Amino acid sequence: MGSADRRVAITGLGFITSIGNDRAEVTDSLLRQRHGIARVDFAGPDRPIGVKVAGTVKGFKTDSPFWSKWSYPPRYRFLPNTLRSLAPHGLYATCAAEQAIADARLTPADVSSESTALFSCSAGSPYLLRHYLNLMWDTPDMRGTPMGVVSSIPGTLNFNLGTYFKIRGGNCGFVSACASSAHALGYAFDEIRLGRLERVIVVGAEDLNTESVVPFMSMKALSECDDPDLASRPFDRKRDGFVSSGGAAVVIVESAEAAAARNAAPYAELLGWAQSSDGVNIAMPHPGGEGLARAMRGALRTCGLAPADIGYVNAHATSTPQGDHSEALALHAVFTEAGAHPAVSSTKGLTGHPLSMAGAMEAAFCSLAIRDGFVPGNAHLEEPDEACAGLNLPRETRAAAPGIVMSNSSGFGGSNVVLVLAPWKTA
Amino acid sequence: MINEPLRLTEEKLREKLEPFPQEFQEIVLAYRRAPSPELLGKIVTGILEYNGGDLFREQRAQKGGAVRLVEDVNLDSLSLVELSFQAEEFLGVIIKLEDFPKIRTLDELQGFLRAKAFPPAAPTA
Repeated sequence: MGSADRRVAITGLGFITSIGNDRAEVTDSLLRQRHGIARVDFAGPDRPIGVKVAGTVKGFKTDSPFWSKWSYPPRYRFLPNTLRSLAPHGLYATCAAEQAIADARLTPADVSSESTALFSCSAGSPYLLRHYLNLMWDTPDMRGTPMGVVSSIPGTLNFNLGTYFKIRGGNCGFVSACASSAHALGYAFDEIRLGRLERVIVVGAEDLNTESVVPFMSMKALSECDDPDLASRPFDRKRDGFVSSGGAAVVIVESAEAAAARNAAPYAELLGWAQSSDGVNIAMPHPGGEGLARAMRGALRTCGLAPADIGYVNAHATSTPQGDHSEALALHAVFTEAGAHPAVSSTKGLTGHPLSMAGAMEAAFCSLAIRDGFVPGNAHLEEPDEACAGLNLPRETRAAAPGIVMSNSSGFGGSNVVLVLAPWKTA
Repeated sequence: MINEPLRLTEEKLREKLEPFPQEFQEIVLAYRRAPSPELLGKIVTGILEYNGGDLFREQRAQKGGAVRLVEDVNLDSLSLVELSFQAEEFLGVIIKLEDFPKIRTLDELQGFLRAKAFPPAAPTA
């Protein structure tokens, strides 16, 4: 039965990220502020382009359109039947989901139960789409390959992971650009609250290759700084664009009843969420942060919280001049004007920006921060933007319980999603 | 429906072979120069090793030529379409989807392709 009192627990996490390929590595990177950004040659030596760094995925070799040429960490074993219809980010997602399922100690019966769903988010694989469309045009009868569609279009994660994990409760995708997997978590919360589902496996994943990154250069959205130690510096006066990243993040949410029945040990409670739309521009946020501020206020309202109740905000801030400025103004409007000064940081200084997986990844980081008792700092922040004056932007990660946490996400078209997480309290 | 098998240029064939092991590529190129039932057999096995991986190898070790493509190697409909493309491109033989109900095992696949590629000579008067 659905109930407004139904609590939602976060019980499993999985990571293939630029800062680590499992929970322990990621936690260590967050604590030590070890970034995952490295130099990358996206266009070859004959094409000197401005973008030279990315938040790279380590331990995987997926720089071929052919799955038979890929390699991945030996802890994972896949048959051709699984690999053949995956994009690179599908491989990352399958690995991260295996981690999360093991982390939550879910049995195959739990995963395949009629009350377990899969919500996933990615932009598809422009890399494979390009390869397969070229192949189609290059073959006299335009036959292409039967795996072209299922491996490359948005939805590929649902097709593949839904089959691989034998998902039976529901299987759908969310597309709101960089807010996608935050949206997925929000709607997973609602489905559990409504009593339609007991458990949702939320997946965000992205390729990291020339086709997934360089088109953002055409929008002047990417940093052209070539120093991996400085390129991603959210809220800093010298920021000049975001640093692309890829990988996969998986968050398992379930009802308190389902978690208790399995004696699960939740990381955190997903207290609630809210969304808004700027309605202003296809790519830029509202210049004053009006939309994001509305989403933050909405999240506080639906959770019955005041601004002063929030101990830490994991900002969306991607290191773009306009986006970080807009978010800083939104934070002032919601918190500073109410006399509240939560710690605010963007972990994208460490990870880079993994687009539609950002929401799930950062909700997972917040879950780790809550369970392990730390507040992530702002890596690479040297001189805060003037708009940040008065915001509490810790440079260093510090050991302290963050209390109730807010995680912001924004995407092209002015989509804003705000999730609220809290320490888990056994009823 | 196109009834003539697709004939790729050698350059395009080499591109199609790129995901396959080097040894397999050489067998296919040798078959293109001088087709033989023996090479055909190796190509069919190679295609199934590529598509079925360790599962095919394990099942074949147990069941030999009686290994079943769908039940034992888990080839689904898309995989069978891909297999049919590979057979056409590497062997010059078309497998129509309606042929698959008659092709359930490795031996049946070998027999079907061999009969198409090397039809018995017509009796002379």
